[in-house]
Amino acid sequence: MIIDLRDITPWLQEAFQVVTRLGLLRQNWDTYEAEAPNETARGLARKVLMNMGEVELRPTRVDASAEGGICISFVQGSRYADIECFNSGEVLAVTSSGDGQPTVWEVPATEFDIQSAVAAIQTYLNK
Amino acid sequence: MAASAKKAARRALYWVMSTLVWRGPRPRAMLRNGRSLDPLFAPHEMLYLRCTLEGTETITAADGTPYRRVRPAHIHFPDQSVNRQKYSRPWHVLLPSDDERSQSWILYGSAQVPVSGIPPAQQSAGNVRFEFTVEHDPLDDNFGHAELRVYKSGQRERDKRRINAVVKKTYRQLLSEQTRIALEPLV
Repeated sequence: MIIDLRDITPWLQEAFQVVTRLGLLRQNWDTYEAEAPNETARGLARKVLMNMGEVELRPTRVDASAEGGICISFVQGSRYADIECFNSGEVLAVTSSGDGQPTVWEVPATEFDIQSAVAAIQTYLNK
Repeated sequence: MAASAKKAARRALYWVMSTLVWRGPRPRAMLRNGRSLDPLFAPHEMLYLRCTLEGTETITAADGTPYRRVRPAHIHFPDQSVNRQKYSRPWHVLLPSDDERSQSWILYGSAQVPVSGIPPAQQSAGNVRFEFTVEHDPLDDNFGHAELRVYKSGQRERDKRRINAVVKKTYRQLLSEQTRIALEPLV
């Protein structure tokens, strides 16, 4: 995917730069043998971020996942949500209000399904 | 105290203890010294794991109280190493071992989770049952070492690729929600 950073909002530019920097992580970056995010995970993360950019859904944080990949997360009061893009090519999303009943679902890596996951997170955070 | 002063103080404390008191990288109480494995865990026993500044976040609990926890993305699964409160102090997980990579651990933080906070068993969509447990796994230089393990249909599963992705993520989310910071991370 080729993205012209000049055409996107500052927070999204910054998020893309974080994704690029995460590619420089070494293996075992967390001291518990975590794998560094690979190009598959970084490509998926960019795709998810582009969708978030379209609806101005700004994540709280973009960083590496201990399970190998990139996690794009949101914290709003007691509400938490994230989309994790794994090195394996899997994408999973979660929403949770900390009451012991998180909602977790697999997100097929299609434009439609990613858009739907982003919309579900936006709805959850704006409840 | 400024972050740089806190780092210097922690390094200095470690130097004093390892050089003048323990005369080695770890206190003698951490060593196995022929002790037998202890399979019994009380529900209120705390389990300690290392964390970084980046790996923690402040969030509001369901009852409205803010707390700091290990972020779900920073939870490993399966076979996360932890240290048992019964045989360890929170800072024991920061002490370097013979492995050179462990030299920077002293500036990390320590998070805790009670044994009762280990997520309950889950059933995958394909009706496979996953059970989660903590098991004592003593090492020669760390008697309090234990592991958070998973059993798939009654058999221990070590290969994360053989664990249902939704089960795995649900477990990591639930465990994260039970963690609290015991010792502040400085890096």
